[in-house]
Amino acid sequence: MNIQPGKLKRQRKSTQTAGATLGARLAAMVKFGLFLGVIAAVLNIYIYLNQRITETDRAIRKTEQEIARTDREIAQLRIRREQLSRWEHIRRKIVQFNLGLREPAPGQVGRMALLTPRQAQMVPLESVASARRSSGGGHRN
Amino acid sequence: MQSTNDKIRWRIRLVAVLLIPVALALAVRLYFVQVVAHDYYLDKARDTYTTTRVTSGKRGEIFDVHGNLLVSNIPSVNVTADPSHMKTVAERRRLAYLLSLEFPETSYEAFFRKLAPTRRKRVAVEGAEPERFEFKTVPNTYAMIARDISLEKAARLKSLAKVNKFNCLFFKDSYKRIYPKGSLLSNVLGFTNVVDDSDVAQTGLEKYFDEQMTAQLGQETYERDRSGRPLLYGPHISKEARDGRNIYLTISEPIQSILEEELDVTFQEWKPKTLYAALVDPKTGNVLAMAQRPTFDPNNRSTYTNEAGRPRIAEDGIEPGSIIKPFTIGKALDWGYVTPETEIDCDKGTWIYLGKPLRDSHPYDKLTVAGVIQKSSNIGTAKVAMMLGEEKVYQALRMFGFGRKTNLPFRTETSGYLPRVSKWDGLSITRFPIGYGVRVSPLQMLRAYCALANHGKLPQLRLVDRVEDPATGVVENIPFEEPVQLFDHPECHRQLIDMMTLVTKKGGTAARAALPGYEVAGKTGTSRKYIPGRGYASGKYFSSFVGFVPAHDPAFVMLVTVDEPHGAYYASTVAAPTFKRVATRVLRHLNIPPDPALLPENQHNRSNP
Repeated sequence: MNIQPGKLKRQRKSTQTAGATLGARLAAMVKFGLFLGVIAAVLNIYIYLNQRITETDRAIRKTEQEIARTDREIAQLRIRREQLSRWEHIRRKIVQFNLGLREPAPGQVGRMALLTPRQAQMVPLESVASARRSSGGGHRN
Repeated sequence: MQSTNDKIRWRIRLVAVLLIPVALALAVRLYFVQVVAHDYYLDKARDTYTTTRVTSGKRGEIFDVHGNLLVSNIPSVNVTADPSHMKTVAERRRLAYLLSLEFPETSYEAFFRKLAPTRRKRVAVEGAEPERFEFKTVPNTYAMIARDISLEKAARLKSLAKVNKFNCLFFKDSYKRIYPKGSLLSNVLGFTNVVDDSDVAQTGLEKYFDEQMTAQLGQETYERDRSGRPLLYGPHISKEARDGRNIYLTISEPIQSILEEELDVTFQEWKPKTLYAALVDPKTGNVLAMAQRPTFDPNNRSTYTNEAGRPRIAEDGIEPGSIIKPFTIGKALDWGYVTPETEIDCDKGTWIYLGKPLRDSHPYDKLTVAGVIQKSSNIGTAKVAMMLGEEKVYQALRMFGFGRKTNLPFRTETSGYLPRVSKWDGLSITRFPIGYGVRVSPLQMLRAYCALANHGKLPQLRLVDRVEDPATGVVENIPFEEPVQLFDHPECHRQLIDMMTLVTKKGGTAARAALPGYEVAGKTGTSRKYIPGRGYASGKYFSSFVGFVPAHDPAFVMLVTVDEPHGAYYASTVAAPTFKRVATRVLRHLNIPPDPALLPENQHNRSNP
């Protein structure tokens, strides 16, 4: 019986299989490692993004608060401006600083304005008074 | 005999028998909690970490026609404290002292009391029949320290609280109603009070347009983290708060300022009980200015009195006196009963009719109809009215709007008093056309004069020009109503204006209302004051002047009424100069130049070439 060649063949085969299994295992491990790496990376990115979102959200809120505070300051300044533009206040200052100002005579006043049609519609009186002067009276909106 | 293995097996079975029901019970419970009662527990959890915040918009603002701010909301801060946060009496003392320095109007003792760690609370006794209350001592968790303080003051207090480590102070952003122009137009604008942190309109336009100007509350529901911040995920339902609508008046702030300044001068000079005046654009019916004295500052309620606060120009019905004369005479001209040259016998100053005398201030023998207006003859006017008859006189006065409200936005506007002909007595025809026995509001009188100034067309008065929705920017213009032509013959209207210009010329009753370079049409009226139940008071008068300028193309109609002036009472002395001062400045402001031909120096040159 010729047993040897068969044995050798089996031995060769098993050696080949063992080599192949080790390679496959290594490959599988590498793949698994890669897979874990990807998961870890995704997780990291997810955490990072979440952190950024939270930070951005916090920044948004802070900016919103800042805007609200600035809005309130603007509202206050607007009212202050209106208080200062009150004639009684201006008159008091004219007297206080002895400015000697007086109202202009008609004809000394020139007005120039760049208005949108809507704004123009909303300014009824003074503009009409000057129109009256140039056209000799008449129409008013 | 059992082997060791058997014993172990038996024990395992016993443990299994004991554990399996527990596990089963847990599984059942888990199923119940997670599936059957899922919604219940979810709602319960949400109740814990979901919060609802009510947001409020701002109350609408009021502007003049040019967009100058008259009523607004100023950002402010409410300061409250939670005294239960304070651990020691010394801390309480320190805070009370600091607050008393910041708010000197409240004493240290008052703050110390406010910051008491406990307070007595009235609670109902459980099960007591009838209901009974008792006082219990509970922790004091809320104390109002200051309302509506400025942002600067709040910032200073915040930093002080931080430095001194007062954690019990809380700062809540708020808005306070403010009137940046002070007393300007205050009787018309009205004011609001604060009730439970919200503005409640009390008087004036604030009350009339309360519904439009009130902001709509918003609501925000969201899931929050431990510190109350909204979570990024989870439901976030929000309904935006809406600011109230803004009202734009027809009032022009510069003209209003001029009027108020000049009224102050008249008020100082004649010290009347009341004084009011208004300017109207006769073509549009737009009220340009409206003022009264005494007045008040809505930012300082201590200046408020009922008399100063109510818009008397719309609410008071007064016997107008001679300023009503042009209407009967105007219609007599229009209907062809008289011409300007028709002569009227003025009975040398005293005319007895139905046993009652009617007098003129100066005796006149005969006057033309033009002279009757110029000299303001009571007898002449009464005789022209007699020519018309009761029905026609009533019709004439009614046509000009007497007895009818002007429908300006005043809740308590008077419609005046002009009785039907059936209620007239024999003397009414001689008294009503000269302004006695009838009651007219100054606004009605202005509207009637607008018809004379506007080529016989009676306009509808307007005080509100437009309403704006600040959220959308949509502007709703309040429409003009077409004026009604009252004169059948336009030339009669012109004749009447010519007669009225004589009033402010030499020989007229209101030469002091004349403006160099302008033709002024007007009429004076001095009427004795009627006090209900006591008759006509002696020495108490209404002095009025109504006029428009330039007479044939008027920029405005102005009425000035002085109630009980001291020192003089003739309208020519008291009211006409006020008209002149205001008109001079308003014409300058409107940039309406004088007619060179009417300037005194040119007239002098023309007469002496």
